[in-house]
Amino acid sequence: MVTDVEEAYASHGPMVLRRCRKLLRDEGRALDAMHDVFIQLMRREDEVEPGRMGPLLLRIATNVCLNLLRSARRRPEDPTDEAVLEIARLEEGADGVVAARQLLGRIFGRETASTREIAVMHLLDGMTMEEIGREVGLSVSGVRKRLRTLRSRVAALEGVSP
Amino acid sequence: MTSRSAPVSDRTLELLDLGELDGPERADLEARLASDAGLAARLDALRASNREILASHPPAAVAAEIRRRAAAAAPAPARPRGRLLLLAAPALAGAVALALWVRPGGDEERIKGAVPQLLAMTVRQGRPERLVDGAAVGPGEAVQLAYLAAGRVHGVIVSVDARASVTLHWPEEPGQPARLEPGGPVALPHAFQLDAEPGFERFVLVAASRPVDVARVMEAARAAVPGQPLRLPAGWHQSSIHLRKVAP
Repeated sequence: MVTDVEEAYASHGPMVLRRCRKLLRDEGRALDAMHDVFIQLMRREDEVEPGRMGPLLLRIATNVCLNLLRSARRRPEDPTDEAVLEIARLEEGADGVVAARQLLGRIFGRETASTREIAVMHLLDGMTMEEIGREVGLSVSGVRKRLRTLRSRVAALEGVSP
Repeated sequence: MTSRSAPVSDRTLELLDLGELDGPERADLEARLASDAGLAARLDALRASNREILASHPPAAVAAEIRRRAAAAAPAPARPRGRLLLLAAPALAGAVALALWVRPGGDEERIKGAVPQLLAMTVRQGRPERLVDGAAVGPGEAVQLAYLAAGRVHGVIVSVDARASVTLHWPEEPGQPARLEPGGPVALPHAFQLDAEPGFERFVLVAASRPVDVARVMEAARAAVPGQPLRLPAGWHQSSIHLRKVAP
């Protein structure tokens, strides 16, 4: 293994745990999710660019947590939490092209950013469309289109900043 | 580059602290930190949180737990399954992705996800091909299955040949939970090689919102009439692909 998991955790673990806490709002589940994030990192180490592990880990953490939230049976604690829960439950597989792209990405080890990830970047991270576009390799209009579609599907996004 | 008045996200602060911000953005943020006490306090709080987390969950212990979980989750080595020889998933990796994604003309292909769907792929002369219902296949040809759950959370995939010999493809073992992953298309963990038994191989995905009985599906497949759906309870959706085995 090229990536030393102990070293990776020592440098990036706290950031990952904070992300998991923020999305899951449960300490035990956040710790479990953090372990899963680093297991996925070990499997995707060919994607790790030197000095750029943070963005990849944040994306993995977002996906791990959203997948856990899909089946969560809890009441939202506030409007942002409500929006996150709705985003987690989005059925992205209904869009065949997106689904096929994601499969392509999983197999070749590069996951195409899902609308859910983009939504979390926008909603929780407060990233601008330009920043998201740079991060996920989409044009600003592509990001805007995804977010517009999302807003029409996630009622809880209305009234949530940013 | 961040504007002097734009709010700085936690994410940006995290990346700054990790030394992972690009030059201009880093320089801009460092300048703001020098004059913005509130921002500097947020960075201090972040660093205090780092220390607290690493003290509560020490790297050596966490790394050991991660390695333990990774080892427990490692996939089992390939093995024969009934009549069919399992292959490592990467053997057909390109086939799955490309056959689902690209038409011969290079256009993207839409895989409809409104109902559960079974998909089959192979590689011929180095090129991926989607195997549609009724396609011809040769003995020894490798096949990769994938599915779209379309909201159903339970599912079983079996195949049956001309001698009514049934093979379970999903779950991997009869005692395992027959659950489907959301989204998709989801490739099964192993591709497999078709045997030399003449006739056909028919693959069936049975998906439902409630648990699906694996034994019942296998029994229905064994009793299946070619060209007819399996006799199963209402509400158990079926998607079938019939492959004709032809001599090379």
